[in-house]
Amino acid sequence: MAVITISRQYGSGGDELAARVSERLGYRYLNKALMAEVAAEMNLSRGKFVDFSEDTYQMHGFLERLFGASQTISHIEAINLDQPGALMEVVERLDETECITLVQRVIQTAYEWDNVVILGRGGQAILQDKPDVLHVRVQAPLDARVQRLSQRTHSNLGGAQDKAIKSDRASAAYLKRFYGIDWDDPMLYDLIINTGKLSLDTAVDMVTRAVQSLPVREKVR
Amino acid sequence: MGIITISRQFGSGGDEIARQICRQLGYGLFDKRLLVRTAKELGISTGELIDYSVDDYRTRHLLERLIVGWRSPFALSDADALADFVNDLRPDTARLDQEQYTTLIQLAIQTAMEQDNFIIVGRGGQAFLKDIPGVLHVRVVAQFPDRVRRVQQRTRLEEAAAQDMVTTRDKASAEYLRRIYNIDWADPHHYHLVLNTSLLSINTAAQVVITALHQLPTPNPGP
Repeated sequence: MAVITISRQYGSGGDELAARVSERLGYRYLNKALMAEVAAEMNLSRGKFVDFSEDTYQMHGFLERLFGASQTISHIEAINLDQPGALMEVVERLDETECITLVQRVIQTAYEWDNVVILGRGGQAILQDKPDVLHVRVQAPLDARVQRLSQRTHSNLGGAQDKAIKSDRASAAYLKRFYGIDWDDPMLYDLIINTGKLSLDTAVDMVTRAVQSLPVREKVR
Repeated sequence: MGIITISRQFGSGGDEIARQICRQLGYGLFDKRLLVRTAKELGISTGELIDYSVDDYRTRHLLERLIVGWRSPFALSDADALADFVNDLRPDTARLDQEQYTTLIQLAIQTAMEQDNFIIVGRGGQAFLKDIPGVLHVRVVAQFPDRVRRVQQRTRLEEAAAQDMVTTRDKASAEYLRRIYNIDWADPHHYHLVLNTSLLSINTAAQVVITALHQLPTPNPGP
């Protein structure tokens, strides 16, 4: 029993791999819905949690990043009960640092749950030195990814290529900015799978096989 | 029928993984004996054959390396070029230079490809057999301290000496691949998979490679 993090280049099939591996092993798949669920269990109110991942990072401004300002990621509208008992509407502002801290806390909690597959979100950095975590990287040459993307989304090749390049850039920037790592560094991973050369079926088999060698965690009662 | 190339950081356990797969699948290990056999067939006496394998590359003097001219490695199908090369090799040939050595490796690999399931560790296999159907390219890495520890266990060297050895060997391998094949050996794109033995055991790593092997097509018969 273990935890698997999957870092993927856009269009490499990493999302599908994560879903299929969690299904095969009976693990939970930490997607957006489960992130919110974990947050709720941590008593972070559902509305207050923002899943600030590399996939949302690309939405934000270049200028803000350039000047290093902590961006406002979300505005939370909430109804508070003030002292005298009157209802008051407040708007809270969550900035990058707060959002990242929340994501980290959710991932740590998911790790403690065990038997979970974590896709992206800096999992390879947050859980870097844990002995019972398998860090997987999925990549493929740009051409192969563009082919896969345009087939899946019925978009043209040029559009798919732009999307892949932009998305990879955003992921790289997200990991560099918040964790100081180069996401392409092969030494960050235990297993790197090239889906330009290997099928997803094989990739699922390989990850399933690799995870068997991880140490079993002592159950704390 | 299958061929596996294993490129490994020094001390990462790549050789052990290769041996385990050979035991388990009955594959042959491409090694110096195969080179000697091929050299003999070409009429080169074994005394002249120095294994300028990737590991020994550092022994070459810098000047010597610089004056060896560039020649592209033969394409697998380039039978005429191979024949010319064989004709040029006479029994009185002095020590093979590194370029000739590389060609000899390539010839031996081709000979092996006609008959065997085998694994080739190092020697530029990932570059020479690039994009050949039925060939699985594997890279084995591990964190530096783990590799130093492994080398120390094997050689009884002091820590500093082992560190030195690991650094020197890796640098030599990277240089060889850069010069002969113009590739960055650390780039994961050259491989089907990369395994890190800091976390994965030798046994698990071997099983993952075997899992990947299952999907490979049967290679085309040699030229």
